[in-house]
Amino acid sequence: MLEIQYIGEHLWPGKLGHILVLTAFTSLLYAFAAYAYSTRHREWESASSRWKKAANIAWTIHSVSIFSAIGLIFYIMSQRWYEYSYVFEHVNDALSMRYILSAFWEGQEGSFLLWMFWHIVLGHVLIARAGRWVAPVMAVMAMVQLIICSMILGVHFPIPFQEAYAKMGSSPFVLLREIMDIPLFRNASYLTAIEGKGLNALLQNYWMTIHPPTLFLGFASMTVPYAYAVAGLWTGDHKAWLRPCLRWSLFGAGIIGIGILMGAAWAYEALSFGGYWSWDPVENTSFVPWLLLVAGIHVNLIATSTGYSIRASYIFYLLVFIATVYSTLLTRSGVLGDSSAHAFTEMGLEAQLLFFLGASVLAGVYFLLSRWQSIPSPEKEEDIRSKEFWMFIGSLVLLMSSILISFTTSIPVYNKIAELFGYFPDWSEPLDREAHHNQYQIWIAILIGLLSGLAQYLRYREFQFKTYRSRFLKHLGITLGVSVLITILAELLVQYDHWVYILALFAAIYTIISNLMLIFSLGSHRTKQVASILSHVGFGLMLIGILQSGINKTQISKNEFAQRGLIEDGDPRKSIMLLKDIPMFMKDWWVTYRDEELIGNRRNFHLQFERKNDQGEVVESHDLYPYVLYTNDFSEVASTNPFTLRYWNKDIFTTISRLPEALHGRARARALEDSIQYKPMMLTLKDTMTLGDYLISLRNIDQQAILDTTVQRSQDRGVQALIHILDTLGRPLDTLKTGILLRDEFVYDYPAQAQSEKLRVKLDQEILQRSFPSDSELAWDTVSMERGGVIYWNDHTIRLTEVFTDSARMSFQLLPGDIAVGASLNVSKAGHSSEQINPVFLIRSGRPNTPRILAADAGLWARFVNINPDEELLQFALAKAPSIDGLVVNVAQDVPRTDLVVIETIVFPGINLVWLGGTIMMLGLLWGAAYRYRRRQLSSPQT
Amino acid sequence: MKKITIIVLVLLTVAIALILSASKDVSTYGNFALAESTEKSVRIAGQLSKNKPMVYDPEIDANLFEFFMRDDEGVERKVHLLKPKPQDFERSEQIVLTGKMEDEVFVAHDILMKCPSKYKDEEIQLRKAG
Repeated sequence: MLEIQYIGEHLWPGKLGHILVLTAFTSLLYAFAAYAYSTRHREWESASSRWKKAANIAWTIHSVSIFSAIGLIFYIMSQRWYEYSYVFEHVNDALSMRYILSAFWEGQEGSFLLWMFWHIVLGHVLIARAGRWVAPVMAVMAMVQLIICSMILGVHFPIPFQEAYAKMGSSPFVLLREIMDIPLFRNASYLTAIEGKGLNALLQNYWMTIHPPTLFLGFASMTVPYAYAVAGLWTGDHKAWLRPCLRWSLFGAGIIGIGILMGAAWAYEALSFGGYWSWDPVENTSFVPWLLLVAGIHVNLIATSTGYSIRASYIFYLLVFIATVYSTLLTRSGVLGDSSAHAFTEMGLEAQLLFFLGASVLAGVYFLLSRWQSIPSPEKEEDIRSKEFWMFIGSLVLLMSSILISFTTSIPVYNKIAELFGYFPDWSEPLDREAHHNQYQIWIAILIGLLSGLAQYLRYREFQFKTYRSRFLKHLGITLGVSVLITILAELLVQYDHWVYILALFAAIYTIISNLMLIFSLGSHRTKQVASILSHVGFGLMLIGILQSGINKTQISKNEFAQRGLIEDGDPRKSIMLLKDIPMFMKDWWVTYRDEELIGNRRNFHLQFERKNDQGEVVESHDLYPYVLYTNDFSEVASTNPFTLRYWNKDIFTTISRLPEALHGRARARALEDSIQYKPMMLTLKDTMTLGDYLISLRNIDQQAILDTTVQRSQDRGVQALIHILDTLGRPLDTLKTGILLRDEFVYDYPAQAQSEKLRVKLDQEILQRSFPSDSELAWDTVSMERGGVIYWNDHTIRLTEVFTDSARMSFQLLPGDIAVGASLNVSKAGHSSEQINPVFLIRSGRPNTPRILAADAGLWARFVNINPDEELLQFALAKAPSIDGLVVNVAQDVPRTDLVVIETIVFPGINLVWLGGTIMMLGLLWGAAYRYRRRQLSSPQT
Repeated sequence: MKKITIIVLVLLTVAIALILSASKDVSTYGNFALAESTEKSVRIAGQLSKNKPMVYDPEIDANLFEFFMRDDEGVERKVHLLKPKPQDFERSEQIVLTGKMEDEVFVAHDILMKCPSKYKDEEIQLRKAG
């Protein structure tokens, strides 16, 4: 076959990109080997440091390559070079530059690059700051980075003894025509015919610009504790790694926590799930590593403060990494496709991912087992009255929480594993996923609340509890007493009806009070404890917010006047229908649907919420704009997005649960219009006819209607009719304007609908033929006139009032090079108002052109056919227009209304405590990281 | 034995007990025959009967959508979903309903739909002329 010479392709970025990726991979491989070698020969100072230097250089080369590759992808994306598959899949012409970032990490390749970007940044921080830990820690970092880098390699190599190729990684620089085999690519200039698919409309949200980078920074910083743990095992220095690792863990937990909170905010704000957390598998798989990391931080604290729990620290950090790996596998393999709203699509590289990640986990487990005996562990066991004992219990509780969450989240995985053995159990998630998780996790929250309140007043390495007992009991008594009192007061306010909820409320209040009161008893140790106090108080506040917004959330979108028998296990009917401009009462509000408006691919619905006092005066009024987003090609609705009224103590959350069929995108609208059965009706002007329960009357026909107000072309032929709908007594109900437009051989209908009468009308095409007869059907008559002259023609009086050449006044759209003269004719007829028409005489490409023009009211066609400059006479051709006093209207009855919207409104009390508490908790963790980093600089710069 | 070991063992026992109780929530898909034989809520997977009528009229009841579904055994029943008609309902490849049988009608209070992904299609949208 002949090689096709494609036109307009830009091939250099692909070649350069491929070289960059290969360079990045090779230099990384070298960096890994060199760091490992440097660690192995750490006894031999000079060689070790030489290898380390070489590895640092290789890491830098890797960094430059990856950064350049990222820059290159942004470049081809911003240039809209659709020959590249990645550009084609994620960008389109209309995508604005502010979403280019989101488009970049929408795909797997981009998100892997983002992950690598952060590894590189953190790697450089480690190289600059980690002192003697650089080589072993960076060796592990490089190993993890190698795995991710292999995912974007895009290299094919032959499988031995088989006629097949194995694919290693998927390159973001691959051309569209390299992965698709369709006839389009036989066209050398195929590029002019294609446009990209664009960014998923759901992701066109500002949270989606910052949520993924934050989460990936969190994921990347979770690799560092794992790296330190492996480094500790590797070098056999089981104590020194604990302190730097703790700083990184605090940082990682803070960042990933913020990332998760942002994801929750996105789910709450942009999606209509009706909540910020739905125990979705993708949410769970990023939450579990965070839980384990927090557990790891606590055992690490024990280890640095007491020397206990070093083995546990290793185990927990290994678990964090395993959970991260498992999360990556689940979200990227397509296993979750059935059960999650937002898993990635399959990439076809599951085996590769599984193999490499499994290998890195095994490496960690191997190190741990082989060094187990050498890890120091104190002979004397922890005292039950010591802080470390209860902190350790707390960590185990967190571990239990993550085991329970993972157990349920992994159900699709059990199915996959069973399939390998020939079974098809078809297990599915719990019927009520949220209730399932909540019933267990509330106990976890209670235990954590109680433990974090209690353990704060115990001491590390307790060996003289006797002397401390009275002080401890005093603290315990005061904090418990105050908490019980506040809980009782709070319960009067929130009125939980289940003792477990009340217990959870108490646990939250207890940890807040206990941690706050710590400030008074700490004295000079205050600054050291800020991180701990902040995180635990944040946790308590968040727990209250979760309880309150979850338990006391109420659906208010109910018409309370029309409530029928309630159904057991709660009334599932959550939505209410609103008709345009008809106020509906729900709970405290009068709600009115005002109108809707299409802006870009977003349709806003304007709702008005009004609260009235007893006198019926409006005391509070809000305009709400929930909206739906259409897909980029308008074929269907991509998402419905809520609108939230925010108060300090609650949110009122409104989302559209159903819109009229006709607004469901182009495809549905066309199908709907096709399904409507119209029947023709001949209507005569001023006559009234019966139509079912109504009367219909044609009031006016406008033969020169401008129907398309956005684009107007002078050759458009538009007819519009004004139709009245009346009841059988002749009282007017509705006025309809319906039109039909002929533009370049295409006929466009402008149907009109009488909403409450459920009638839909459109004009029949026959009116176009009668209204715009061909020239040969008309009897033309030529007349000559001079400026200011008057002639009488048939029943008409025609006066030539003006001759002009101003192109802006022409009734005909001129092209450059046209020579045109316009004439103003005043046409009147007995019994009709006079009418002004401006026929045009123009010379286009050397030929005279005389478009015709209609004086509709007078029933006269006119054209300006000649100018005689010598005698100053102008010639016009005139023809009588066929009189139009009626037309055929196509009418459909019982058509579904289009002026309604179905909404769901939920009140979330205390939701702000979720955001406030969550943010405080994460800031606490970050504060801890920063504080320990500063202290490290003050004391010993080498660890 | 160390106290900590005992506590770890206790927690492990609790964890196993919790997992056993959690695994009771794991459900398999039922069918209409099962729904007819029990009073409890069941979850049924099936396909929309596209040739049967679908009725949703928010003016009468915004929280009632009637349609017919064929379960994986091929049994067809009328369904009353107590929610507004979901978006893209017609495009669904598979429907999973949660509810119970009441007389001849399956009354569902929850629905999950599997739709062909909007962004996976291999078609290439050609640029419109002009």
